[in-house]
Amino acid sequence: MTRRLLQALVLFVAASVFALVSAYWYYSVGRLDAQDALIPITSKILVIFLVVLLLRYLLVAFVAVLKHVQHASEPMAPSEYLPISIIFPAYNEGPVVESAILSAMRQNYPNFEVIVVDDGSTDDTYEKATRIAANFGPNQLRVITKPNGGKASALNTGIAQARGELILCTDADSRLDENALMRAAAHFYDPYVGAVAGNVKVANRLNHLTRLQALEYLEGLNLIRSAQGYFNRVTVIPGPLGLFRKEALLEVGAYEMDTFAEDCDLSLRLLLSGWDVKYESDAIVWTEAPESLSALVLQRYRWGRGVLQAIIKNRRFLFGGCPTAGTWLMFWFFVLDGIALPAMNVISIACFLFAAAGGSMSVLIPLWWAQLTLLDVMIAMLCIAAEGEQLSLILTAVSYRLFFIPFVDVLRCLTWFDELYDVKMKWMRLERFGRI
Amino acid sequence: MEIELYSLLSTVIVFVFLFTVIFAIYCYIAFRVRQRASLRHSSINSPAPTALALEEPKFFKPLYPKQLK
Repeated sequence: MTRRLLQALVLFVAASVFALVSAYWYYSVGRLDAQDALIPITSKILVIFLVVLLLRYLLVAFVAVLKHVQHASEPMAPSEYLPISIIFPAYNEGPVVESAILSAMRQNYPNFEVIVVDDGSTDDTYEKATRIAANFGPNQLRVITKPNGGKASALNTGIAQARGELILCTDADSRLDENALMRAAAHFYDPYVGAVAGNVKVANRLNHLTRLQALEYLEGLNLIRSAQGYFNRVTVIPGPLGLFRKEALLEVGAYEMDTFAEDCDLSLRLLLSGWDVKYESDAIVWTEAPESLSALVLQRYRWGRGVLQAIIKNRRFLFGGCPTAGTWLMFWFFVLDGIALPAMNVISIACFLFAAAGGSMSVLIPLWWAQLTLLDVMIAMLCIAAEGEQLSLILTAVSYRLFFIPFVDVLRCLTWFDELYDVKMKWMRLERFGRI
Repeated sequence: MEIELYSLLSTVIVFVFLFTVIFAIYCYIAFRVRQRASLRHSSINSPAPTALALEEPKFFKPLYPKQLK
């Protein structure tokens, strides 16, 4: 009851702040002709982009709230405990592999096995995994080793060996919450559900950069997944926690190795084959986020190119052939959200810089930033209340809009050029610190 | 007074944006340089692709089956 009241209060305060700021902003825009020194067309572009961004944010937040309300009536545990295989692909994950395996072994679920696939590691990953396996029987934990072939290849090897009807694909740098399996498996009473996406949270909130990513996971990635989950159309099942029906995985050919975002590609193929993909916010997994800017650039470069590759690969479904109109709409939303939104942010910054270079400092600039920052704060409050997260994350919303979003979006736009010009890319792995 | 405040805020925000854009481009170029060096290195030492292909499990994959519902 207290939590419900808190959520209602947050919604009320957030809506009030938004209404007040919007009223003031529209009042200011009404004076643009007289006071604003920006070139008129630049002003118009900025106003259009701002309205689109605001509408998109509000729509996503509204549907996510609907999903949150719907979630209360969903089953907390499965009616039948289907056997589950948890697959850990591991390549040089020595510092983190032990805690990841042990977190899986502690699952509050009666019928599961764990398969660790060592993808030709050159460190002590295999030795550490086999040492833990000695404490469990082969029915509970198996360790497989193979020559290095990439994450998708390791996952496919694990899937081929899996005995479970459901398959949980995770990362060796992630720690599963003990109820993750129970909560995610509860959705498979529905025969149309092909997969369930979990809730990824940042474990290593040690510096400002990782706290920014914690906020991004909360109000960027998970909020969208939550909204998409309302329609059973999640477009990206996160690598650290995706529970799949084996039948669905085999039907679409499991993981393919032609993109750098194999999880995004697989999710799209499942959706476009007619399977439902749900989101479970209580299936929590903790992951290690990049702690330095160079590691963040590496991760985002891979994500940027990988998502574009997955879209290009499935582009024919943009113009027909989708199983349902809902899937078609969600695919278009995914494309616009992944391409148009970052492009709009970058064009907006270019407009500001263009205006500043011309010697004019518009009233629109601080209003633009204040409006979006307030919106970030509002949505952060909403997500924090819904997920019982740290209140201090709200403070990071200021630099989130000023630095993090422009940085990530500029980077993403640059990766598109590399993809379009087919620049060679190698899968470079992130350094692990064993924070989980 | 109000306009001066706006101008000051605008100046700060524009400079932060400018710094961020330049910094993002710098990080991107630095990443590309590291990638290129890494690719040069891996072309000498990487295992033969055919050796890897033998290990890949093959799944039957129909071409986007018909709608399930």
